[in-house]
Amino acid sequence: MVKVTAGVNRFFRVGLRAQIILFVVVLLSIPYMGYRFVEETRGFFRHSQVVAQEQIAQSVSNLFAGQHQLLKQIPELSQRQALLTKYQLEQAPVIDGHIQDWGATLNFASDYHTKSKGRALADPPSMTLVLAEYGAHLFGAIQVKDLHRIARNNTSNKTAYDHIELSYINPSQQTVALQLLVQDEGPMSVQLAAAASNLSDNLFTPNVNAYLVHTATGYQIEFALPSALLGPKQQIYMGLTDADQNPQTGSLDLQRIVLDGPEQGGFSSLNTQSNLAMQLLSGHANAGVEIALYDRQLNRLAKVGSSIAMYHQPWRWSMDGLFEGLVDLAFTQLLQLDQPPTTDSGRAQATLLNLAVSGVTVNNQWASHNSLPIQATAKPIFDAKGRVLGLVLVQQSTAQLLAWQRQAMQKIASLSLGSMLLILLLLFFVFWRLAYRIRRLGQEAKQLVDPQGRLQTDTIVHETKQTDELGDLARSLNQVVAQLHQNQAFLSQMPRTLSHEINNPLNAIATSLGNMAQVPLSDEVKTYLAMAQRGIHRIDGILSKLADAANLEQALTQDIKETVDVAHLVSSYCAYQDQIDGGLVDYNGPTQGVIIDAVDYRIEQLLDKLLDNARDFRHAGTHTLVELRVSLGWVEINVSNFGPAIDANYQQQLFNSMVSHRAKASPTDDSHFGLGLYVVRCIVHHHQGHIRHHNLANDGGVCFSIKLPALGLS
Amino acid sequence: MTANALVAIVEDDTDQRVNYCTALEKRFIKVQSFATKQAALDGLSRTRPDLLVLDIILDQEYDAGFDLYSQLCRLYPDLPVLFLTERVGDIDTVSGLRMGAWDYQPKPISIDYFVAKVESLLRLTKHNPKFAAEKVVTRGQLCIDIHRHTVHWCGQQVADITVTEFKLLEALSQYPNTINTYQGLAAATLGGVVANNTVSTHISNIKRKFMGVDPSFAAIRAEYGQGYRWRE
Repeated sequence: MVKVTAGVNRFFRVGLRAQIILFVVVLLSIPYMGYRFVEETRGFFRHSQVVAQEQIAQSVSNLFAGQHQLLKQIPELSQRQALLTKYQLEQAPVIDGHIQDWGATLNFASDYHTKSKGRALADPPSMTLVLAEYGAHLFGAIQVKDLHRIARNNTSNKTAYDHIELSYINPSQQTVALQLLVQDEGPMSVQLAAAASNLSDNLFTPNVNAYLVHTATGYQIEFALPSALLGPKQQIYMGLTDADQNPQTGSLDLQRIVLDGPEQGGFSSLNTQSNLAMQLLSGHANAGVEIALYDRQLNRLAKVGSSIAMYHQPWRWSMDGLFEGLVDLAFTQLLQLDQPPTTDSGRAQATLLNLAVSGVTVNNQWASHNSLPIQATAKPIFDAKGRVLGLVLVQQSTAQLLAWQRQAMQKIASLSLGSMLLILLLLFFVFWRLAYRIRRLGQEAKQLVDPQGRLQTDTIVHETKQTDELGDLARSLNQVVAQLHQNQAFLSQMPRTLSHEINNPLNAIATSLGNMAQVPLSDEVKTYLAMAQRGIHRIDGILSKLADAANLEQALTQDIKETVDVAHLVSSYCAYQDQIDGGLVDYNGPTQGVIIDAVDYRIEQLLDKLLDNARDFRHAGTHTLVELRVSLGWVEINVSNFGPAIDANYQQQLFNSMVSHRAKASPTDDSHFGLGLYVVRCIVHHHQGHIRHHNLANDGGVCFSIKLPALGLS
Repeated sequence: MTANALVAIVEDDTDQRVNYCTALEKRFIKVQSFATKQAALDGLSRTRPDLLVLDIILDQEYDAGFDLYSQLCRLYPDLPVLFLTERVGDIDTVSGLRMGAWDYQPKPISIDYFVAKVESLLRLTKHNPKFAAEKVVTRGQLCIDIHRHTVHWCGQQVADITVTEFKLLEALSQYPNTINTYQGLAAATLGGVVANNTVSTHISNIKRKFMGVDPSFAAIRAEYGQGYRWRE
């Protein structure tokens, strides 16, 4: 047994299965590990954000602890009523429509939008409003986005026109409703709403001054009214009525914006924003952090900062094409990332404040009205006796964090995809290489044997030093090949070895018999001596045949081919065979002029074997037919005899050495080792020819057909 | 005819050695026999034989015969030799001939063939009393000196003709333009069982050697299935 283990390190082998598993693990671990990392990091940041919020809230709470004067409640304010904030101006603004002189107070302007109910608006108006106080006057600055102004004096429909609604409850507890009419630039007309239908008679010009200027997107209004006009409840109502022409019907449609009032016609209480509280809060304001102060009634007393200030949207659907879109879709929809809580923000905030007013610090997250995720912390403010004086609410958008997470996940997705592509390429290369190795090993295995199934080599060259399963296979194959080669060598050498070993004793017998024949012997002994010598001669013949067959392939390589007229060779050969065979050999074909490149005596030897075979197996008295044809560059020689057919089970082995499967048609004393057809095959292949055979019709005999390459006709 | 000639036989098989000796001594040929290579080397170093009959395999030594012949050739460069061996491969034949062997005979051999072969070889030696008298056969451009064992074609000597080839050539040219059958030619080689293709191989070698002198040589014609013909 041959063991091939050279160069194989059995301690560090990585099998094909292990390689594939390794690849899959790496392939899956990259995105998963990335996802886990981002999730952990997001959790850490969120936790940090909550802690930071709580610290801010704690700091504010500490600041306002026991500050009763700053946190005093507004007793008249019911919880159903909203609060409008008026800020303190440092100087009185000029009522000229230009609001630059409002300074930093403009930063506190609030946005108001049309509350659409079912119908999509073609040009929805919006406005910002800031109220402020200076001295004995209440001032207002309004910026309206409306490209299509409809002035009352320019339309025939006296009920549909652009105007600002301003109502208040006077000291006599009467409601005064005013309209500030949108007209050309300049001082605005102010009328009582109740007299709107009769403008000429009811022009009302109290101490309310208003001025309108046009802007690129609409107009802005600056107004002032004496604070004394408002009663002790300090309640007002404001709204915007925008008239626009319906492009389909041509009629005028009205759209209204109602300010903080909880419902149309509801009043809001004016609350003076505490400058001291604002200043105190401002010290804690950070970018992106909104801090609000509430009293126990949950009325907002002060607010600084904005929760959306720090938010920069780093990604957009349209930003980077299909890849980012797909990644966003995958992470948003499949992994549920970047999804703000769907809770209603107003309700969530109210819930949070209600919990905090009971004396506990709470935090929660929700989506703002523009769908930004908000993280909020509410903390109570206590007095010295531990009673809750008010609340501080800290809000912060987590959009930046989520956006960062999304960005990170995009990068991880890109990295994973790149890695997967790289690994796929690597896998492709590995499997291509594997296929190449298998194919190479297969080709080598195929070339191990010749068409007759004989091994051509005793070793496998490729793959035997590899450490994987294919290497194992190659080594196993190598062992099998080595063993088969040994057996084949033994079998092929056997005739020669047998001849070699027998020849010496046979020669001793032969020479002894030869010497015996030289001495006087009786006739009876001479008879036996002659019989013994014939036997020796036959054994000599058998051994010679075996040795010749064993040496044939080597002998063929020493032959020198020359041009031979094979038609002349075969025809003259058959003519002679016909003479000595009692006229039982027929030849059909040309008698000259067919040239091949051959060793003539090998062709003769080939014919010897085929005709010997035909004689051995033909029925007594039947003819052997030899035919020669030329077609398409080949010379075909057919030798047919009528006798037993060849068993289909043995047809593949027929041309192997020492194979004989046909019953002899007529028994003879001649030895028959099945070497003849093997010799024929060797000679035919040496001449680059082909040999085949078939049984004749009705299994009445056998035809052997040889094809040899023709050089030409002469 | 070959009396008084000394033939040395080196054969490790006692029976065969005795048989060879007996057969030759009956023909009044003096025989020295040896069973081992060393014994032969020692004995033949002192006395030059007229012909050496040598088995190639001696004891377990596979090339002992070739080895012995090489050493003896240093002492006697023209020592004629007849290899007798059970090794029948062509390589052995070629190896023997390249060493200058006069002939080569595979075992088993008929004792008659053996004696005839030995006598034939001895006739080529100086101890042949008829050696001085030339016997030359001429067939057209062919000239064969039977005793000197030389062949000329078109006046040029054809080199390296072995004894078997010489015998075949002699038989072929004896009856020009007639067919020499394989059986007849096989008998002429003084061999045992000689197959047709063995004869053909010898003929092919003869033709090749003649073509070395005359590339247009075509005097030997194959009569397929029967044998060969010498054409004049």
